Amino acid sequence: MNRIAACLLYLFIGFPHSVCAQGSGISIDSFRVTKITPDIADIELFGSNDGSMGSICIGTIAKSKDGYVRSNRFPPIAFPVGQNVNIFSQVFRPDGHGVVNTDYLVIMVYQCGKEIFQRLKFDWAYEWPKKLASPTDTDLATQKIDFDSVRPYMVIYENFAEEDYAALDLILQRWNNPQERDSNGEWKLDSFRSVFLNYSSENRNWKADFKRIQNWRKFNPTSAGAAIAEAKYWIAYAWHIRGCECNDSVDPVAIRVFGERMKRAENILKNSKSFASINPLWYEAYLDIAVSTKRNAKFTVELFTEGIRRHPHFHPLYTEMVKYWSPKYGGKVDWEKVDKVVNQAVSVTADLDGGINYAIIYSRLDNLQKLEFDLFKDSLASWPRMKVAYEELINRYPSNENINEFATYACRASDKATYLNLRARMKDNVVPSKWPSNYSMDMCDHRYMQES
Amino acid sequence: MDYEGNFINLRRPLGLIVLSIAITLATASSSSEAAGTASNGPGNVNILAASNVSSANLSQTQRSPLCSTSVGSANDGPEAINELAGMVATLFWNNEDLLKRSVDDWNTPTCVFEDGRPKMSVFQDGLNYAFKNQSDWSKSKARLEYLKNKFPNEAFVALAESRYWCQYAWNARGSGFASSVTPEGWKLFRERLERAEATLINTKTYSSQIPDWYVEMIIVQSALDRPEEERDKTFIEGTQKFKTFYPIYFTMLNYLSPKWGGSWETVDNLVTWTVEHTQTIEGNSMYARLYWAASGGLPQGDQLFKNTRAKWKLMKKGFEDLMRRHPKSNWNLNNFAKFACQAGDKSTFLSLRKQIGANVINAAWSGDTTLDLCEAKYGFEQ
Repeated sequence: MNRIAACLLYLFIGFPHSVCAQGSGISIDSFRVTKITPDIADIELFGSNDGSMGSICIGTIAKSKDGYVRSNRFPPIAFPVGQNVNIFSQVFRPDGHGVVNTDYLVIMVYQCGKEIFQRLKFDWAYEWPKKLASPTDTDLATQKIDFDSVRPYMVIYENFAEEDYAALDLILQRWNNPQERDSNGEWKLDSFRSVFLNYSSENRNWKADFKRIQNWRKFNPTSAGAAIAEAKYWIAYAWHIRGCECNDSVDPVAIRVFGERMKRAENILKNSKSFASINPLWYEAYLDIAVSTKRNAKFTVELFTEGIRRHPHFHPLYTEMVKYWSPKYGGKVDWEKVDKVVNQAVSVTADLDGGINYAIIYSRLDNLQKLEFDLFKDSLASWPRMKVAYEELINRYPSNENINEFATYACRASDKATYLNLRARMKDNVVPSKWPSNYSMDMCDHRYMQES
Repeated sequence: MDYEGNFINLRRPLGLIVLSIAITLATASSSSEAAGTASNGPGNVNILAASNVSSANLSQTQRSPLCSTSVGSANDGPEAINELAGMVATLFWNNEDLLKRSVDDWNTPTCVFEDGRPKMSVFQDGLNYAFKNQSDWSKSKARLEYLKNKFPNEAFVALAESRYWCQYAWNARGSGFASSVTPEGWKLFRERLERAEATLINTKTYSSQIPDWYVEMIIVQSALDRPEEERDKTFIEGTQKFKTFYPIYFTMLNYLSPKWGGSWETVDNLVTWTVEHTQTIEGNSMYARLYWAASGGLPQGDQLFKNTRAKWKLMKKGFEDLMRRHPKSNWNLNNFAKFACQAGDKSTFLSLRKQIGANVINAAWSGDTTLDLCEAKYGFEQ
């Protein structure tokens, strides 16, 4: 029976899916699809809520087996207290107008207004039919941009939260390819770091994350992603106890545990090299350890050289090496070596990337420095070269983020003509996070637009 | 989790992007007692959840911001502050009548969170969010004009206008050290702060009935380098009129600290004066509250009991008074334990850690004193 036929059957006979999920005084026992349009599936869920968790909400999405395609929003529905209650929910189609297939229904359970604490997955194969564009469609839907191109980290994050390890392994394999870029021209693979490197205790449940990573490693003992995720976990956990690098009077216990956790991360990488170093994130993680623990230059350069020999186009490796030569706190800064690495990156990646890495790597370096750092005065970065690189970047990847970023550098470089040109191009598509607080768009506009 | 209209949007990061690490480390964390009170620049309260609330319907149908009705809402620590601040931001844009009612309702010393902080202190945080989430400043200004027409001579509108100019001023200046500010940034900063000052002065007769007037005025006078005597007069008047409105003390402390050209000696004088001034109501708890606030504004790497004049013996006594007055507050308890750890008081830490049990509030343990470190240091095992 094909997907559509199966779903139509469910639709017409209201066949309930006899699956059950339990947990925390809440259960979803079964569901049935009551109505389907090209945009929305109406779902009736049957379950129980003993009320012990307070005010509970649920949301329902559809996702594909490979973890790639998913509804990107859901309406929050209150889960009433009681035994055998029925709840009416809706599932939105994934973005895009073409035919898309999803394989599961995922029900997110959370205390209303707070983070999701449980995700329940049910088999539900469905082929969303083609739909006509409407004027109310979001930009994403209209432009048919893939979810993973805009926010690849959400693909990783959501599948990790759902403990969908098969999907994670597939995604990491697929993204280990220089052609797989997000809308800004960054490697989609690089988004992996943003999920596993967060070390702020406010945003992270260390125990739960560790358990999930362990489950991933058990699920696939030779998973490159699982090994690298575990190494990243220990790097983040090391920094968590040590605190800000700016602090030079760290508690000796914190220093000791920092070293132990970094060592643990390093051992995981060493032991997984045979199967995990096919993924450039393995080198990026190891370089991160070398930079964090201030390893000697010989070791770090050799590691970097091996990394770029195997993964020449993975620009985060160059960014790590640049970080090594330009420590923000303590240690000697060597701008010549930084410039050499940036030029090396441009020359090695030119076949695929042209000159864009000059802009990408110098802007990443700039973000790592203090606010008062002036890229064009304090380092060897050249605005004329940066400008050419950004022009190429926005030609290849004309995202709002890139245009905003280019404009901030034009403002800082006092290039009025370029700034005004980019501001005209930006219109209302402002990306506030791209503007450093001392060069806000407000300030730059006053500097250049009121003079005009 | 995000609310966009009534829908939760999965495209936005859930606080897991690397950038958030930088933000958390670079700014005073929300573990600060004063978080969000001296919120005119760096060190603003981190309102991840609240900042995302943009649906008036959701907040109004599920929760009420009024003092007497907090069913289903958090009532302790940053969670409570964030939730209420988010509601203020929502009401500012969508339901000015309820905002007015809420502000009137909060304007009494008995309207406090479980941890003892006045609910009114959230008003400023909420306004910050209302403006911050709107990148087009002209829309905020238009909204203020609408409110001024609808409610002439209303305190909450005047204070919203002054907050707008302050926020707009800091937007031009940036959050970095003075050396990072551009000449245009300085010029706009001053011009806009002067607008805030004029708003406060011109509306004082009615807007100073809300304690936030004094907070705003101290911020503006400090940032504009007005004579110290003028600012002191504002502080004294405010603390006479609103004795238990902590943000007035926190804000003054902030501007007396070395970061703003003051000294820890002056800060200590303020703390001593405040403890005496509030003794009959607060016991010694203001000693703990004020140095707790001071710790939130310390430069990275500085330590409260090493770099300031804070004394652990007095701080402990202050916290004991605080816990007696607000025994249900896990937020206060977590912070008490954190300072015990910082002070190297192993037995107090272990005893408090036992009391905390599973009620750990992560926001209390951010920065350089993580629970992870304290437990490793003193051998705490569950």
